[in-house]
Formats: sequence, C-alpha cells, structure tokens
Amino acid sequence: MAIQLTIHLFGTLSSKVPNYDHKKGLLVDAPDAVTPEDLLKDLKIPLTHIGFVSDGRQAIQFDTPLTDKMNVSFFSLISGG
Amino acid sequence: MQRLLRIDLNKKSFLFEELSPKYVKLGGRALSSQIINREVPPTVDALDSRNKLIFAAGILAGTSFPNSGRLSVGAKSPLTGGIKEANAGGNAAQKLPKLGVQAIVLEGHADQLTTLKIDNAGVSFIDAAAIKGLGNYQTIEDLKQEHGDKVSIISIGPAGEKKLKAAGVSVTSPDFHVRMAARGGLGAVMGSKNVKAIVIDDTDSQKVEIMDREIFKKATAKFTKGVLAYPMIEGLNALGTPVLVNMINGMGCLPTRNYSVGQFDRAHQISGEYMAELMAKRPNSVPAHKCMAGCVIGCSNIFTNEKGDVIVSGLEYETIGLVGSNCMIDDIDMIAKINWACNDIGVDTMDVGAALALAMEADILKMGDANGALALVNEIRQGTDNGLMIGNGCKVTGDTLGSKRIPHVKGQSLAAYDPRGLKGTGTSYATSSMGADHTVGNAIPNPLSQYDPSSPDGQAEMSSFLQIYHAAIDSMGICLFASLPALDFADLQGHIVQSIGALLGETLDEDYIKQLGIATLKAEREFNINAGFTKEDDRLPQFFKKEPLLPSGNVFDVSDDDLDKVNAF
Ligand code: SF4
Repeated sequence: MAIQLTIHLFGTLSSKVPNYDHKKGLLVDAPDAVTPEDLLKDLKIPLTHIGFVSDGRQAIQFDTPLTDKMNVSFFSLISGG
Repeated sequence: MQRLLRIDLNKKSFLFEELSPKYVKLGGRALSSQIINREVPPTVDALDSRNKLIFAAGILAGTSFPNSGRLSVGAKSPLTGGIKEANAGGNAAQKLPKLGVQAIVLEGHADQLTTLKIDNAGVSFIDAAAIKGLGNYQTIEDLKQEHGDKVSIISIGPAGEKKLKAAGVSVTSPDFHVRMAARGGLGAVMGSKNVKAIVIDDTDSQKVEIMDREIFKKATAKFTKGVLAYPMIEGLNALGTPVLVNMINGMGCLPTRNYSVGQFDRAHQISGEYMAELMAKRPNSVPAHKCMAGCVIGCSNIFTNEKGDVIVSGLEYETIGLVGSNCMIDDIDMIAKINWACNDIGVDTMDVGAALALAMEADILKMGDANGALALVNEIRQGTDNGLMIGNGCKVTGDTLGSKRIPHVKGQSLAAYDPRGLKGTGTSYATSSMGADHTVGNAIPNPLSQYDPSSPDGQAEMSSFLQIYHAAIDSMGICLFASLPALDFADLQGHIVQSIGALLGETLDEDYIKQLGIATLKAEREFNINAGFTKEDDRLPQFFKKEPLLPSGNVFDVSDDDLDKVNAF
C-alpha cells in the first residue's frame, strides 16, 4: 500500500534538491512503512549530512517507520553553541 | 616564554611573572580556573577587591592553529556565587601570547575609573573619566581614535559600571564588532575593579615560539582539512548558528513563552533560513563573518537593515531563542535591535532575554511586545527600578516578581534548548559548576549515533563526557564549532594533541584532552564546594520536572542519583 508524506528540508539541504519549494515542501507517495533513510536515498542526500530528523513534534530515527500523511523534516548536520 | 601579567590596581603597578609549576602549560579556562581556585577566597563577595579577574589566552592562541583565539574571562561570579569562565572570540587572545602573556590577572581595585593599555613597554594606567558611562560601541570608537585600529579592546558598558549581575565583557573582533564574554556577570567584576577598558597593542611583538614547527604545521594542516570536510561546516558557513532555530523548533525544544512550550508557530520568521533570504537582499549584510583572525569556518554575520545600515553583528541563535521565541517576539529586526542595545549596555542577551520573558509573564509588558522589550532594556542604561531588575538577570527578576517558573540553575539562566526534550543538555545545565550553560556540554542528537536525547537513561555519562571535552577545548582557546568534528573523528583529536605537543616541545599522553578537562572541572568543583555549594544546587527548577513540554509531553526525569554521578570523575 502506498502512503503520502510531506518532506521538509532545512538548513542547506534544500539546495541539494532542484526546485524545492520552502513553503510547500515535497509531497511524495511512498511504500508503506518507508523510513527516513529510504527517503534520503531517493533524494540522494547522504546520511552524514543530516543532523536531525523530526516528525514535526520531536526527533525520530533514520529507521523509524513512517505512516500516512506524516510531515517529515530533515535538518542539516549542526550542533549548538 | 609565556608569563602571567599581574596588575595591582591598588598600587598601579604590574609584574610579569614566570608561570609557576601549578600553571605552566595551561591556558584559557584551565589557567583561569586554577588561578581562581588557588588565589581567590571562595566565600569572598564577588565584587570585593579580593576577587581576581583573569583574561586568559588559550594554549594554542597566537599560533596558526585554526579558530584558536577564544579569550577566557574568569572570576568568582556575582551571578552564581561560584567560579566562572565565559569566553569570547575577537582578537585579544591572539595578541596576548605575542606579548609573552598567557593571562592577565587583575587584582585589587583602582581608585578611579581606569583604562589599561598593554603593549611591549608594559602597562599604562589611563584615566577613563572621559568614557565613563558610555556604551561599548562609543567606548570602542573613542579608544580606537586614541590608540589606532590595530589594537584589540576589552571593555564594559554601563551595566558593568553599575555592577549588575548580568553584565558581560565585550571583546572586539578584528573589524571592531562586539563579541561578548556574556555569561555570569563578569562585567560587574570588571566594574568593581574600576576598569572600564583594556587596550591591547601587539605592535612590534614576537611570533609565538613553536618548539617543533614542522610537526605543528603538519598536524594543524590535517586538523584544518578534517574540520573543513565535516558536513556540518557547510550549514554553519551558509546560515550561521541561527540555522538552529528551525532545527530546535522541529525537535520541540525551542524555548517559547518562558519555557512553556517547545515550538513557536512563527519560528520561520526568526530562522536562519529567513535571515539568509533577507541578508541576500540587504546591502552590506555579511553572512559567514569571521569573529577572529585564523577562523576557517565563519559562522557569524553582519546583519543590516534594508538601507544597509548595520543593526548588529553577530546575531546568534541563543539571542534569537531567548529574546525571540521565548518572549514570543517574531520580528527579527527588533531582535537584532535588542541585541545591539544589550551589547552596547554590556549585558548578556540570554539572561536578559529570560528576564524579559518573566517580566512579560508578570504583565510588566505584554508577551511578544518587541518595542516594550527594547524600551525596558534601555531602562538598564537609565537605571530605573525595572531596568536594574532586568539588568540583574532572570533570577533576580523572577524573585522580584514572585515567579515560580524561573529558568535558572545556580542563578544563571538556561540557554535556548529546553531541557525536557534535550535531557543531556539539561543534565549539563544542572551539574556544571558554571550554572546553566550550554557550551559546557550541549548534547544535540545526531541520528547516526542512536543517542536518544529524550530518554532519562545514559544522560549522566553523555554530559560527563561532553563536559570533560569542552573544559579542555575551552582551555586550548579553540572555538566550539571547530571542536565538534573531533567529537566524531578521534583522529582529529589526535591532531589537536600533536599540535599542542609540537608547540610545547613535548610528547603528550594520548588521553591529554581527558586529563586536562578533568583537572579543570575538579578545580572548578573544589572552588564551588568551598564556596558552600552542595549537590542540591545541581538540580533543575521544579517546573521542568512537573510541567510536560508540549508538543512532546516530555518532562525532565533524569534522576538525582544520575545527576550526582556526573562529576564523580
Ligand atoms: S566559527 Fe564562528 S565562533 Fe568560531 S571562530 Fe569562526 S566566527 Fe568565531
């Protein structure tokens, strides 16, 4: 079964996806239980460039199974100071 | 040879002192904390003339090692009542070692407001009556006119002269922007010593002596290459620390409405991404600004208005979090103006931001009222009751207003990471001898590491590890951002150790970083225990344990037993 997800890219990640629209994000169809890692592979963004993945509420892992209508946000690798 | 420059303000005399065995080969935070622990009576009032104010260059300062010019400012803190080190960029720390000075130690207090000039000839004591009461920016301008534009200027604003607990110390960048050693009220200690400014002139000075230049050059080059290859650097360079706004908001940990919730619905308007859009359109705005010579990253900025006039440099994440979302202020230009006013008056934007939110919660002004916040900050300069309250930081403000939700540890406000979602950072806030401070051990998750910031388990170990590492890094004078890649890649730590070994002409132990960090933390802990601190001071305020943070519903639930393990080295 396919699910629909909205992907948001922050920091410098948006520059890695041509024609990315900040306001809308990326609307994608994906297989059931797809993970953030799978999405990044499709987007050709290396995992090492990712600082943090969020479901819009809090941190999730690269292997967290995603569900229909989720918002997934990817942030550049960065640390606080 | 590196020396201590002891300045006796009572007698207007100075002495270059060879580093004693207790202090030799130390720098930055390690040197400052060891001096304070050995030489300042721990129970003395922080504004008493027996307190000492230290300005210490890091071990690597003045060399070509990248990003190694942080200046450590240390003393007993009037804000926390404990030991304090706050560090800043700028170019002062790069100049001191060239004058053969590892650290300046200010002792006693001057009988009138004084500017100290330090150069190859020694120290001059200059009457500062003409710059009394001036803000940092005008002070810098006047001193630059007098002493030329090759100097570095350390100064305090009116808040330091008034000895307010949130007063910081300004250090100029090479292009004379203000960088602040903001935390812990060290500007008040400088004010209590009647020192308005220190001008450092390294004209005709020597290069720092490096015992093995070849090895130093090679190790430094490898470290620099490793830092530049680290993916994080790209984001820092492009967007600076404000890139954290969206990220910490996404984690649900962005302080909002006095730490009531962890997400701000208008975060985008104060984000690094939005700032970058504005700066691309505004004349004279500079992204990737470098706060010191030798920086290879450039995380700072010069933020201008539509006409191209500078509003402030640099506008950083912590200020945006505390003055912005935490006060529900969504106007980035107003946040920048409040930042400028804080820099000019010479106060910590973080403690003052937290204090403003408390004043808003108590209806002194409306939550989100940016103009009111700016006016209240300017009242610090005027010395009104409310101004003095805010200028003394969030603990005094909260106590004065009867708040039960004061976001502080040991009297110092938290930084812009809510500890309920970032429990490793919360553990560092609680247990650091410095009071709530993020740079001592900020545990930001990286999904590759499988570290879970919202679990109560393992946070003591994480915080302890980070606190040891950062105590060492602060002692070397390396900026935090250049040090982060070495947390992921042990070979980069090896290049740091090799560089220091080559500088000193020694083969250092493999665990040199750990040893240096632990020795520094132990000295700081010892001072605080002797000053009367107990483990009860190593706790977060109750509301973080009781009020769930929305939207995640997290509370801070790291056990007291775990907190007590952090400093058990
Ligand atoms: S990375 Fe940022 S804080 Fe570090 S030295 Fe460069 S400009 Fe300063």
